[in-house]
Amino acid sequence: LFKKKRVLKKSVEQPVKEESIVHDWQTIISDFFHCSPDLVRKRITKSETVIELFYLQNLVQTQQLEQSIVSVIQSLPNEPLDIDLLMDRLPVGTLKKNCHVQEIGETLIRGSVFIVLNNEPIGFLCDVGDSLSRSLSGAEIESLVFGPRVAFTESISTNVALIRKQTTDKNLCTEQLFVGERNKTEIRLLYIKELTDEKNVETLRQRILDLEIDDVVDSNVLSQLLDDQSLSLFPQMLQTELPDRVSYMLLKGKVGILVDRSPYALIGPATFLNFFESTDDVYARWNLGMLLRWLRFISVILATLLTPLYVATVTFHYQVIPVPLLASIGQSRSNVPFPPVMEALILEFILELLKEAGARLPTKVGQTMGIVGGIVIGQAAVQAGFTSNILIILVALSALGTFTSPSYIMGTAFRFVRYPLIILAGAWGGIGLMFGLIILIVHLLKLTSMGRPYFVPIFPFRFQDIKDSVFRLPLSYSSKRPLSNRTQDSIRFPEQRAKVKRDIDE
Amino acid sequence: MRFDMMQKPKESLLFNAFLVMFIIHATQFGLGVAGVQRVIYEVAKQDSWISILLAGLVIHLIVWVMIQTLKRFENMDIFQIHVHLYGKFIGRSVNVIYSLYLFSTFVTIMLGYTEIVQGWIFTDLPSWVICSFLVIITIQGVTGGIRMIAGICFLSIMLSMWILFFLIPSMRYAHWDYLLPVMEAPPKALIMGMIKTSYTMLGFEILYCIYPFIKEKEKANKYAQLGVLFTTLLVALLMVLATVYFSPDQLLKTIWATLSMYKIVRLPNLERFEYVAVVLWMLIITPNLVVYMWATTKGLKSTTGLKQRTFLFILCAITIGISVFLKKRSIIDQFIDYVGKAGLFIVFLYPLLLYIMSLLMKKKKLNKNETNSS
Repeated sequence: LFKKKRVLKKSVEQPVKEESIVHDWQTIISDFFHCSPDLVRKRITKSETVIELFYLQNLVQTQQLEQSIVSVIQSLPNEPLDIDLLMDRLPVGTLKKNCHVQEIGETLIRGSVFIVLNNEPIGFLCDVGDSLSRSLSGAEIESLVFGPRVAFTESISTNVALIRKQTTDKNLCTEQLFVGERNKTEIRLLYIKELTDEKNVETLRQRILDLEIDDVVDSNVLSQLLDDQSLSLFPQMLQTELPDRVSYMLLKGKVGILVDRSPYALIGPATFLNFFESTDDVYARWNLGMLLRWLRFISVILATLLTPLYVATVTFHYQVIPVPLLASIGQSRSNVPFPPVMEALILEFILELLKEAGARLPTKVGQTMGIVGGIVIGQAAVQAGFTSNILIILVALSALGTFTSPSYIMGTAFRFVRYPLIILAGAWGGIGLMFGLIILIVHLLKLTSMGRPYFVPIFPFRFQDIKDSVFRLPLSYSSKRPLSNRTQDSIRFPEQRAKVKRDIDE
Repeated sequence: MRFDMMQKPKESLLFNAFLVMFIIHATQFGLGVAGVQRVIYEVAKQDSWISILLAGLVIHLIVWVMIQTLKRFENMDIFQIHVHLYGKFIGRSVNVIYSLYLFSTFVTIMLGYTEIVQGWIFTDLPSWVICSFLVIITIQGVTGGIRMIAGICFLSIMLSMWILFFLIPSMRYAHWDYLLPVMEAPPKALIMGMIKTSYTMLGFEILYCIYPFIKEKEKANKYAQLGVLFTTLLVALLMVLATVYFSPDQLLKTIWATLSMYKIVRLPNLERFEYVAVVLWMLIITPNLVVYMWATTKGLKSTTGLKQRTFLFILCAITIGISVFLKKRSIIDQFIDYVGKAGLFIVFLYPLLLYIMSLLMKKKKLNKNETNSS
């Protein structure tokens, strides 16, 4: 939907008249920035040459500017200067000649200094930008028990460096793209050449280049723009703040995306099961990892089904419940004046409120939430005859269940899938619930991520991939990269060598 | 000609040959299995399982014949073969009849499941509600295309298999001597039993429609046979279980024997397991509905050239209409009966006819070509 946004008219580039020797850069640049007070012009006169420096205050590192540009220029010997000579003398890494106002302006915004001699039509840019980034810190959303802690920051250069540090493969490509008509944002496409399927890279590159939007706010927004089915509740790209996870996925043949100003990397093509994998499973011993993964699957299934099942059985199919259990359910429900659907919806709604309020509150007040939630929901609601005890247990269980998903977005998706299911179960019992579930399954089957099936490896069934997605077998068993990623180089390590069995005492 | 006959389906639409097994099994295994036992038991008594195995054997043969026919026309489904063999007019008429049969099967499945739901769970839930559920599922499934339909078949089997294991507790009450004496039924009763079985095992005719979409066509036969084998064994197993579980008189009075067997299952937190079974049966019949509707619309599309989507919506509207207006049980039963009988002819005898026709026609065409060239 967003892709069809109106193309914003670019301001027509002003070609610089080549023939005029003397050029009034002061007016041109200050026009470009609409006489911004941030624009600084510094004049240094060196024998006959007038050297002019233009930069935007606050965006350059003052210290570097003074040390490696201004003082160097001032200490130059008195000899005739020209642009090439000056460029040679300056101890700054990135220098670039340029004469186009548009480009110069855009580079100045990113923290460069434009230096021009004697108002010649051509000057050069040198990068002394202040990256304005925070220092590296640990992951907060995807905190791990084992494994590296460092997370991405908002600066793309830091993030690229983090990836490079994780993946030393020389084939790692970090392709640079720009998106955004007004807010030009740098995007890096990460993939390993000669390993990743070229088609996947091509699809992503094409989709990113085809975007016509004023501003890609964040990688989360970009992932929505790149979605195959934007109406779906389910995320179609994996988001992570862990460099080690990106690197792990890259080596498995996926494509990564970094967006400037965003601490989340995107990974695609994602599959449904990817959202339940955590790098923790990889770092843990295989059996523990597999148990943890299965715990997550089961908890998500329970989280989706428990409340609707309660509603369906208590409303319509109480014959299904054995008598002793029926007695206790009846007892706890005897004070409740609402039908089970209402009861469940009210309780789920209260819990949803608590979660959302907890997420918005500053951490200092967060404790209050726990007390309010615990007392209001745990006791008062039951004593007031609002809900039954049993339902509270179920709702609390399903709330816990959705939180076990390593991806917050996937957890949230399942939180909301519950509501239609509860309503269907309340209206038509088991039949309604089954209807909802079938629709859900068919929907998941229908989804694609970057044109690749979402439900792989369950369907299309890939036996080889099952052992590292549904299960997590010992590392010696996953000697091949996932088939579904269609990697060009499918072998991670020779299978035979890993499985050699030595005889006794050899 | 308006449609390119030999056009191969797009590479991205093809699916692996092993999925044929799942599609065939999922299409065969459906509503009938919930209560087939009584019908067969009426004629073949304790030897019913033998008739089922024999019927299975016949189906294996027919599937082989179907594959042989299809092999002669690479990348053609039955509708294109018809036009190719019989010419434009007759071929298209036959196509319409065939599509009508497929659609009627779709409607019977839908009405049948409605009956089960009304009989076991909600006595007064209007039919059109249940039918609307099924129609919505069908629309969502069919619009996904053949590959996704294969996926639905696959997942439906995977997600519903477990319910078979819940028949084990009821086997505590099994009297295995109900199976004796073996081979008492006369051949005529066995053959009658075979015919009764065949109603349940219909569904493999779908091979005619999915064949062009199979990636490795040389493996199609193997997997189709495997799918049929699986169904036959499963139905035979259910027959045996019902025979030993119910007393002879009781089985004759039990309409939905498979579902009734679940009544005895009792878990610490769950009783009356048949409720779960009836609900889960919706997942079991989903592939049936989706596959039949897909095949119907496919047939109509290749006959008329209109969009498959258009037919999908028209037919779904008709189905809901039927569910609203068709209320009399006797008419529904008669309808289901007719469709079953027609199916018997279309599914069991017609493939043989088609094969012979294809042999004859091919020869004629070859002769024509020779005369042309000479």
